[in-house]
Amino acid sequence: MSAETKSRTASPQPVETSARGESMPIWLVSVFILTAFAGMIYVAVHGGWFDPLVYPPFADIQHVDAWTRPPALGDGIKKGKVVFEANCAVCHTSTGAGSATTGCPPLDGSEWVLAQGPNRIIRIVLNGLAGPIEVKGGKYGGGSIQMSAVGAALSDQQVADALTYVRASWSNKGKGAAPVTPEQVKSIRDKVKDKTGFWSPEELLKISDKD
Amino acid sequence: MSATISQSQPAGTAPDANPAVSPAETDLSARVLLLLFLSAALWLVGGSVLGLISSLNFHKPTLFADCAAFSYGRSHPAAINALLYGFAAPAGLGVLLWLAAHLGQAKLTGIPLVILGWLLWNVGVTLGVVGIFLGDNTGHEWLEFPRYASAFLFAGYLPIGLAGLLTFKNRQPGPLQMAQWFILAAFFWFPWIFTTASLLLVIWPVRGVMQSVVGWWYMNNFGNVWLVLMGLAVGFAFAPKFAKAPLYSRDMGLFTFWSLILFGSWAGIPAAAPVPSWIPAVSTLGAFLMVAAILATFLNLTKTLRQADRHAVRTIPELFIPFGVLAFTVASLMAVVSQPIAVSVVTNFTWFIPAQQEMLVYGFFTMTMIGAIYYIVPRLAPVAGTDLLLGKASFLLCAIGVLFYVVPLAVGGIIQGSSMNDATVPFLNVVKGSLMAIRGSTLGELLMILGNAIFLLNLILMLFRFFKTSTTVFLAGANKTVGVGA
Repeated sequence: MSAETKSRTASPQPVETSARGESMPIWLVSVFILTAFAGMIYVAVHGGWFDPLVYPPFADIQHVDAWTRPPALGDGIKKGKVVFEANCAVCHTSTGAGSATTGCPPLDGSEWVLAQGPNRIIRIVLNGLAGPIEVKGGKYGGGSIQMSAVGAALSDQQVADALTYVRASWSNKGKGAAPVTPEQVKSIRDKVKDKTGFWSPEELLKISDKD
Repeated sequence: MSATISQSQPAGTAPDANPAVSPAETDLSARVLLLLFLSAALWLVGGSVLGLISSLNFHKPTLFADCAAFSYGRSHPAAINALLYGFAAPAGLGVLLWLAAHLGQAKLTGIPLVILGWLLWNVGVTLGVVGIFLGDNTGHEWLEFPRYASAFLFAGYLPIGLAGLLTFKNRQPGPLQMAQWFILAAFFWFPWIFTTASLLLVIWPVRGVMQSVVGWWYMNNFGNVWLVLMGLAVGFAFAPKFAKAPLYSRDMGLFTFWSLILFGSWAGIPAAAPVPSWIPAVSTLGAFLMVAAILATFLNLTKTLRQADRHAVRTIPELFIPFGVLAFTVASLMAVVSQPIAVSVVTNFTWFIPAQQEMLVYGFFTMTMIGAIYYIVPRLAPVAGTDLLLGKASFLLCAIGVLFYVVPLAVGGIIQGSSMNDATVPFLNVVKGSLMAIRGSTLGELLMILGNAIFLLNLILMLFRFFKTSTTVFLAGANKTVGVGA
């Protein structure tokens, strides 16, 4: 009815729904260009060239490198202590004394640990060991008491750090045992990758402790 | 739902076959929006009272010392979320639905959808606010509602958004008006950012510092893009309406729109964020790229408004909405200025940031929406010969209130940041030094509460008078009695 006829005549659009064709003033275009330019310079100066390793307040990766302290010898020992406490100290104890009652041999003063090279102890950490094993004149382990392949889940760096820590701590300090490098761990890890089961002391003794 | 569509359009006809609908018929079909406006106004008053409660913790820290629910850590996010989700979203969506129908000369389509969405949404907001008070806060700023509440929000948004798109689709053919661009984008923007942020932060949280990146992205998109899209839709629709003249420049309007869509969502990641440097750097570039768009918006809308007859008496919405345009410009420029590291090193972690957010959420968005609702409601519920109660006072209270809130906190924030960077100033002195600014802001909050309360009172009065005088049946009769309200 009336609504119908009204809607037919309501078609002409009111003036407020239209828009004039004024173009953007040239100074505003300049503002856009200048702010865009300034913004890009800002990205060039502060953006670290999209390197995922560059965090504020550093400008680029050279800047980060220059401010990052190179790893000192002591760092491996400090990190190694963390790895040791988390993975080894449960059995070998935090003082490296081991425990005769649990059948876990000492690391402090152990001739295996203080061997000239780390070839054997890297293998023990990577694959584990089934005793009995003679350490400092005592017999440890054997039967159901074995060391599992703790190092299999650790990185080369972690294994190296933990062994470096063990070779330089307690009474082992000052015995001249050289630090263990991740490269040594890697080369042995490659050599033993097909080995199944634990090492036995006899097998290990056939391997030279030093390359 | 299909029943609703067929009321305005027989099945199978092309959209351009819709007859144009008179404004009075549109208003009659859109009465359901009164629900959204009323609940929004209730949450606005409720949220601002909660905000005041949280601020009281600054002035008397022992006040709620034995009441975990009212401690700052709960009452503050409860207040912010009540304002954002209880008021801002439904108010904005209600205004957008009205505009979509009005500018398209169509009826509001999908009334049952709007009612369903409104119910679910408000259940979500209520659950969320209660959840925050009970300690279920998710810990992500502006997304603090626990996931059981977010699910209701999402379920509630879908039908409302669908009604918006259906109404938009029924528009009269022809080139889009400037406001229609913003309306369409706003309907899609919220579900995108809300689902993305909820999935990545609340449902299957990303790891570590990426959570902060997603959080900043969401806050920026919610405030500086979604609220801006909705608020500018109102600006671009109402400025020509008030001036009774065409929009000053279509080109500049489109420039604003595309800048916002393309660059708006980059900004918001603070320069000192503990993430790879390129992320805040690109964020800063995005902020810089918005400068021209912000100025273009200001210029475009003020030049449009200047075409008005200078001697005509200004109505209340004509006070609120231009204030919103000004506040948009100030708030957006504050956000841009505080983005580069040279300034951020001072303003980050200070009161400057809340000041900027308040300028945007209240000064710009809330003022704009109050103005639009003051304009729309008398048309949805027409009662002859009545005026707004204390209309000018409500504007002055809101406007002065937001200035009292923002100016002391912005200035106080800069002083706070400068002294925090000075190693010789003890930290406690910095904390005590910002107390004066907080006192000013609390005074502002009180004024805004009064302004909000008058707004709510006006809505209730208008509805009351309408029910009393109207012979039409509310809501249910809206479609059957086309023409009566005209």
